[in-house]
Amino acid sequence: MSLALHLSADALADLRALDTPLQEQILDELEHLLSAPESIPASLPEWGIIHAFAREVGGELYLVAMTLHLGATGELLTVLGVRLLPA
Amino acid sequence: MHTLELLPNLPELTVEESQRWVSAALAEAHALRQHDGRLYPLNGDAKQMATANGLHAAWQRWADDAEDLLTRIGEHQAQRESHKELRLAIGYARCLNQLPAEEALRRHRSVNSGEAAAFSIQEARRELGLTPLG
Repeated sequence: MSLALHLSADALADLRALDTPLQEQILDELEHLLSAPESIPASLPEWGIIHAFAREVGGELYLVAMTLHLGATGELLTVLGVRLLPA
Repeated sequence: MHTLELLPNLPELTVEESQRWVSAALAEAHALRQHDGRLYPLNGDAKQMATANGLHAAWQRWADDAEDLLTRIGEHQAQRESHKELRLAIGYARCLNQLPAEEALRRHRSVNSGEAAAFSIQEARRELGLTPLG
């Protein structure tokens, strides 16, 4: 079964607020999730998922937390929000 | 980490003492992360939302205490690997604080109702003016 991914308009707005290298890192991570769905945290039906990862950009370490929702059939992953802070 | 209130009354911590406090803080963060799956209920159930809000609040209390601990330990010890792990966990907690459960539910409903557009990764790259892949 193939997995599709959508970013909500709110998640896209979250990305717009970030610098380009950070946007690239986050979209790359989403591509990774699509190619390796086993790395998506398990979720309960009708609950969101948190996927967090760290990236070093421009010599600074960042923690990225994405709020995701995996549809009931497991075929569509929706990005609800992206949050990022220097660690 | 309720015993953290002791720290201001103790003499400067040794490296070993600091390490034990950091380990204790990380253990609590790991315990909280067991419940990550209950941070964002998306069906509007009030009881589930109360559970989620309780978890969000617990993470913020933990992050406040962990930041106090890092301040107490001081920069001279803060480069250790476990301290980096603690800083990342604090970042995680603060990220949760920036996206409350009610906001995630609002966003989910907005997507499900079709009132807001959704974007593929390629469409998102175009919207952001990034170079398309492939």
